[in-house]
Amino acid sequence: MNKKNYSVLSNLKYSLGFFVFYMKKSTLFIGVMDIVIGVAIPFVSVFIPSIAIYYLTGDFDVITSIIVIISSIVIFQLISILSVKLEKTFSGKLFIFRLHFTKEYSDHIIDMDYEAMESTQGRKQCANGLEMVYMGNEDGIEAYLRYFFGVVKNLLGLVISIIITYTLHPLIVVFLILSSVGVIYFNDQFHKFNVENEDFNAAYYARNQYLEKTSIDPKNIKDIKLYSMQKWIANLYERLINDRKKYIDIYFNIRFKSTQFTLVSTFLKDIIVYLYLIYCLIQNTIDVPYFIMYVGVISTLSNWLIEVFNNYKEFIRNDIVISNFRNFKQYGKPLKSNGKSLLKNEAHSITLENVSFKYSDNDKYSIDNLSLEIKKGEKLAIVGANGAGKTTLVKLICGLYTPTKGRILIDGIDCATLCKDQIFKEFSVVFQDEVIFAFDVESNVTGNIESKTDYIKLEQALKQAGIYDKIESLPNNIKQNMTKRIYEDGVEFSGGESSKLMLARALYNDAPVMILDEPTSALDPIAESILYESYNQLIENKTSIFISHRLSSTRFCDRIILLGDGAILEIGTHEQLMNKGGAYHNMFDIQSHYYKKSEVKNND
Amino acid sequence: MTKKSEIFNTVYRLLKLMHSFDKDLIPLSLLCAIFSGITPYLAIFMSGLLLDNLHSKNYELAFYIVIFFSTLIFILSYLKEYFQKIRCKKNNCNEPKFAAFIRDKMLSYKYEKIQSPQVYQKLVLLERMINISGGVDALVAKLIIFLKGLISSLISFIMIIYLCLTLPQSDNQVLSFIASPIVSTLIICSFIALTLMIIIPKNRKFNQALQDLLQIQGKSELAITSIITDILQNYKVGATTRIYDMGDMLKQRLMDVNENDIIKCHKMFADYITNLAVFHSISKSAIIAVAYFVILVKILSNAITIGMFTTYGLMITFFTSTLMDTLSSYTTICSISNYLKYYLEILDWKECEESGSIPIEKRLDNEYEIEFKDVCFHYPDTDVEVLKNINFKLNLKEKMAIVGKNGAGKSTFIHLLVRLYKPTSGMITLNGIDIQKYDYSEYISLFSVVFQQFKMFAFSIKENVTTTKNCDEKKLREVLTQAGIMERIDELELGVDTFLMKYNEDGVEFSGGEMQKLAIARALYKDAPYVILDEPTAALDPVSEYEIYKGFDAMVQDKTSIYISHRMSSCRFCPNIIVFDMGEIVETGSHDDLLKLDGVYSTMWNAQAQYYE
Repeated sequence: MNKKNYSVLSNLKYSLGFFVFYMKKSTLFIGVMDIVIGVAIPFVSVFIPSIAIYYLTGDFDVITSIIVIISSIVIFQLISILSVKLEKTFSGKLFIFRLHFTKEYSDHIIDMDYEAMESTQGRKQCANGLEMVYMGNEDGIEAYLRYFFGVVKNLLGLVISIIITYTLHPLIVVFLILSSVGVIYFNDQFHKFNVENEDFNAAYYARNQYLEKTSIDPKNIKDIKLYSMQKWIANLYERLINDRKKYIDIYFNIRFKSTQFTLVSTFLKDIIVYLYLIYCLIQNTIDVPYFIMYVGVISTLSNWLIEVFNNYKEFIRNDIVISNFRNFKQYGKPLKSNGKSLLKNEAHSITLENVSFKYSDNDKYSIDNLSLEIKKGEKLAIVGANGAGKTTLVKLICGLYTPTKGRILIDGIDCATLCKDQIFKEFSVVFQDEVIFAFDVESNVTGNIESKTDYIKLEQALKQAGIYDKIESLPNNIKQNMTKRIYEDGVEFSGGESSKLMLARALYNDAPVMILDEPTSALDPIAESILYESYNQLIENKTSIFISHRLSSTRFCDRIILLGDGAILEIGTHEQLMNKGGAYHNMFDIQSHYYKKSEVKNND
Repeated sequence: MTKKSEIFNTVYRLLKLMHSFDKDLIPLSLLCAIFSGITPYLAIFMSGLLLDNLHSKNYELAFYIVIFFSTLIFILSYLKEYFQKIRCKKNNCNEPKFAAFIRDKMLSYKYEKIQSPQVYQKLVLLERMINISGGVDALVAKLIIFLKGLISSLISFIMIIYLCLTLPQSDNQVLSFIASPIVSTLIICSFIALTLMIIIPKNRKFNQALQDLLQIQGKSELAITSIITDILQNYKVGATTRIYDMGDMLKQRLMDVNENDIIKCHKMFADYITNLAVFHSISKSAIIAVAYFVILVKILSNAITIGMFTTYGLMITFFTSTLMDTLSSYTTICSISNYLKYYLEILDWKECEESGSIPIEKRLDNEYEIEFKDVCFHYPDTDVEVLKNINFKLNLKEKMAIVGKNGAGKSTFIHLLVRLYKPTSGMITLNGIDIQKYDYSEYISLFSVVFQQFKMFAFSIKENVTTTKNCDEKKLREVLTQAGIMERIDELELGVDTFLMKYNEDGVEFSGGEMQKLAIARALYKDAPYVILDEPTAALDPVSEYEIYKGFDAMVQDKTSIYISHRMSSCRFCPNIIVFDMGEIVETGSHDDLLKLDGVYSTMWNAQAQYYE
């Protein structure tokens, strides 16, 4: 994946474009007003004491003085109030914008192809993308725009204060800029340190968060208690804190360095500026009101300058986040197509031609030059040791993975020419990992929005999977929320019940090809036997693949393949393979050993 | 809104706890507050003095004033920043200690309490709040601002009183009247009091509204976090969502949560914050305008010098913003302690601590006899009896198997045995004494259990298996070999130091079967007299399964072992098979005895065996 670099200008256009798209155009106007008023305020506040002193020391009558001074104060206060209103409103708008923008992130990840998303690279991309919208006010698109406006505002202020100071003496401007350069340099050092340690920090937070969640997750408590892991966890925290200590030490030392320099430069600046101004007074080039004004303007100048840089740094830091996000948006192939599927909605034949596959972060082939033909309506069983590549093969067949070499054809059509969503539509797969969402039962099974639910089909699927009675017994039936992650009244299913729910999901989906990966490992013998007996009916008119460690299941399949190290070791019917007397025979013997009716001695 | 005494109590206890972690933090915080409270006034005094002297053309004195005050400001600011640095360092390392502390405490509580999702949820929410709005560190930071505000306000107040008490020396009757001590005091003080009277209740109201909003927001935050991190970011779920084309549903749900709940909430939130800020700003401006009026009159009536215009002007501006800061820091202190209260609540669950203190007699011969006497049980939140009148004696050093359909009560039986739950009625005894009376950790040391849904953690293999930092390398290798996973681990670059799961860059993702072997190794490493396997081989292939059983037989020879399995073959040679059905023990005996009975067992056996004939 080649990373594209986006220019700051293009990123700005991108962000502002979305800002106008999601918010009203008038919000931009609020931002501009915020800048104008924000720049005006420090200057107005400087002029007030000058005006006051001018009127107080001059020959004005009492009433005029009071009216002028008080009204200028009142006007200033009104502007301050307006400025607060503008600033808070605008930052609120930016925040809301980031929330809206979340959609840009989630939509893309939902529509990204599986292989891309699952790989190490993909997970990194997704994490990068999340930074744009999810990491709080200081990161991502919200911060980017806020700091952009910050840069503009402070730059404007800087220019005005330089012009005013210039009228006093050009050298003072030079001196002020030089004294700020040191502060900026140290700030930059501090910033560099932060960037360099970003990975360390990210790792720390990830570890901390993992430990935080894991140590109190109700699902883990049993193991934690029975293996007395309490001490271990305390120790893990201790290590975490100790690792952090060193970093924290350096962090605050560097920050203090920059603070130290700021203090020294402020000290020198104060003395020199004051003394020069006193000198001007003695020389009579300025009077007291001007003295006050210059003191005020000069004190803002360094502030503007430093803030320009601070804002700029944060702006640039977030510019990387924007670039990363745009790369994330370009990453992965889209799943969706607009074209009509070439595949008819009926049982398919599937052909694998010399298919090899390796994971992008692995150099060993997980599937190695495998050829296989699954006939239309065939019942295929896949067996093999743990790690033989069964699940990988399934993910290849149903299109989640794309072969590294070779090709897969459905009804003679090369899958490479089809769009992923067209392939997915042809498969109902029950994967090994139990996937239950914190939604209601209905959404868990249908996987679709409520208005599209076919309730008759839903009921039928639940009945066929043998979970209907359980769901009828729930307080809210199919509308019952699941898992306790969000809902206090959410139900948690046992292993067996979850398996049945997964099966119901596959049955409701009712695709031409059905793949079941270890569907019975959590079922008791009776439930298992019921599933076997009804299997033929469940997959009527479908092509099916059944993966199981319980070799009994292969008895009702047309053909069995024994997989080992990513290749087919043996293929045939149960009888053929038993007669062959190879690895399958051996495996079956080991498992059926104890089930044989004949008396066997326990000779282990 | 919580009562003041309650807030005070929460803050006090949290500070005490912090103090127990690090004794320097409170003194450092006090120093920071004092220095930051005083320093701003130096600049305020300087500006007035300077101006007066410049006005009277007293340039030499002005020169010394600049030098003296600048130096003093430099020194005090330096000290403030220095203390602040040390405080931040210590504080930052202190923060995770709170999380560690509560976990240590919580894990010592009864399973029944801490497994409850409500407890988990509340703690997750608390920690999310801490992430968003800050924990004890933020509380202390706000306390410093509060204290600093009090110090500054006190100085300002003295200055204001001093200003009011100055006597006017003017011919203008109106000015003299307004500038007289009584009238000026009345004007300023009554106005400040009036503003405070309006602002404090308003602040409280705003704060209450914010709290309510945060409550609602917490719920929707949980929902969106669940979708984003549990579903979108979770690559394991990705296969299912794609195959079943769940994209539309997920988008719809995100839309619902985001647009309808979160954005609506935050819009209100932003409005509240803006309104509060504007309101504060108006109050500030009002006080400033009135104060300036008095200052002006005082100057015009010659009660104070012209230079004091800037001193008092700066003071009053500083005073008003400090006042607002102090007020809002107080509200933040209230709102932070409002959720941190829950932290203390958890620490106070005295009734949840594990009971029992009798030590377990150490026996080399592993002669521990356990008996169930009329044990009944239902889970706390339902009244469905999961176990009914269980009477049963565990035979010593025997292999025992428990079979039964899903939901027959097998796992519950184990849960009671290992004291995860307490029987609703009846009693379980160890060597004749109620198991609840034994010291918990000693009792638990008698059992090695591999649960059906066992958990491994994203740390090194070594630590996962030994569950400690210190380990016996030889024993570790031995158990890993017995569990049949040593070879696989030896292939890895880092061997037993390899991290599990991909949370770490170089972590390794093990398959379900391999994880199961690790879980078994962990149980073997514990080497307890009772070994319990709850569906230990569900994810294993036939050969691995066979090997594990063979290995286990050797391992558990001198121990009492209990197997729960849906693979009927695994219990065939157990001399003692217990059959559970609907929460009761319906059959016991050997395989042959049970087959003859032609009951539940034989039905189950035949259901499975028919496929192997």
